[in-house]
Amino acid sequence: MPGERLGIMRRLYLELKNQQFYYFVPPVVLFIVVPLAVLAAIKNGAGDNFPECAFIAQLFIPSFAAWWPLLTLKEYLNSPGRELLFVYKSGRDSLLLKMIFLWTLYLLHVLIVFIYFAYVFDYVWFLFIAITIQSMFMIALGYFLSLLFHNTFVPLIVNFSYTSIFVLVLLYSPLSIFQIGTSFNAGSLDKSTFVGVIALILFYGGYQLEKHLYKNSI
Amino acid sequence: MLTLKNLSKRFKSKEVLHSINLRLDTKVYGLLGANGAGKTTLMRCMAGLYEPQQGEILYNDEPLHKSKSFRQDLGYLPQAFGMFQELTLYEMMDYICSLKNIAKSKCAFEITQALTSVNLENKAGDRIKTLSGGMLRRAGIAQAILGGTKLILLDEPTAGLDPGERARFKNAVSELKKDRMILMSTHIVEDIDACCDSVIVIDSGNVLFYGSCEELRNIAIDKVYIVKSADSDSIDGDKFILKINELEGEIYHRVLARGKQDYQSEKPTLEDGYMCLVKGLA
Repeated sequence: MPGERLGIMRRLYLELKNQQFYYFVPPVVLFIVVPLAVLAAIKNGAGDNFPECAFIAQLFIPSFAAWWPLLTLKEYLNSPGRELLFVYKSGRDSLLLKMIFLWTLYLLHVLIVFIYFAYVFDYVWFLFIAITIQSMFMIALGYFLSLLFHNTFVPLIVNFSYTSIFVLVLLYSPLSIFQIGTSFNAGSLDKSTFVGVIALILFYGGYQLEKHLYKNSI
Repeated sequence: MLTLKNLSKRFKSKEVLHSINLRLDTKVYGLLGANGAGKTTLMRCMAGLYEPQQGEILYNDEPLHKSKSFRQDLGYLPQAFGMFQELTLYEMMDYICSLKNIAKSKCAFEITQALTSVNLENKAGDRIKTLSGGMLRRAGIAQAILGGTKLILLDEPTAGLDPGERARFKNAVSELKKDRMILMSTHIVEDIDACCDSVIVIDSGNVLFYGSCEELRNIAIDKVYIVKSADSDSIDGDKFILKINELEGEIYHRVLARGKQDYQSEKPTLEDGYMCLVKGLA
């Protein structure tokens, strides 16, 4: 078992290496774009800048959570020879497990950004929890749609369209997973709980699709 | 070693494989059939990728999904091969090693040995996207034999290769055949003749023939004639023109015919035997 776990990590490393410079898109967004946008908001704003920070964080961070997972899924769904990967992979080595590993990896990066936020603002950790769950939702949605359509481009478009629409246009829609213009405290996590449940349902649906991906189709 | 019992596979209402029964041992088998005959579906069933609706596949007398050794012994080369385009050949092999659960300490040795056996040891550091079609196919064989696999399934391995690459590919298969069961699907009869001990012919999901190359050739004994094009019509009964050649300004037809004709019959090739089978002239 430990050897198998190391094997999964080794494969994940090679899958991320295969992404070449695309791998660096989320770190660039997290470590350059988001902090610079927040700094700009602080410089231009007056009084409490935390709502601006929460807005910027929700605009960028959840949408890029699905970046690595979708590029990893691409090899399993769109690359020549993808059936070989399904022939060799064992039952324990599911794509779902990869999604969870990549979510964890992404959260480690997000955590670094939030350590910076914690120096500038108070009460950032409720926002961190909300963004953690939003990121999980985005990965779950990407995973489910990829397996549904056997394609990773459609989920990528859906992902960025959803974020753009609900963060920039339909700010207060009940269909939004985001919490724009609200203060973040323990009570504000009710919506996150609901989003988390939806994400788990999407993961479950995706996993059922994954199990039958090759069994009965050409 | 690998036994197929009454295997049927259907996609929606279309039955692609009909009650296939086969028993395969340590030999090189050629799976011959026209495009759409069901070769790839059969290979995918054997690789455990598809679940048959009816019947079962046994590996060493155990059903595939229960066999502990099946995954370790299996080497598979699909029709399309070339994932992880940005990784080097060595890294891609390392990935497959990891998928096959080969111990990390043995990987370097296994990869070197596999690449050497297909003459790609000097390409280990090259990215997958820079390899030619022939090199990719040989890399496909190399990954299939990683970990001392005993059961190798090659789906259309020579499709799209130039003659030089095909020759290299066939040499590689010939060198690997010892103590292994290799099943190679193709619609190129020449490839079967060059490296297989036995042939399985399938057509519309049915096994038409299972036997040695010699037996398949013998099906066309006294059925092959080379006649001038003008005399082609004088051949009685069911016939099929296999080839049209020009020799010293004269056009000749290689004709397969069911009954004895007034011409001298030719020594049959494997292709003659195969075509007699699929054209109903056997």
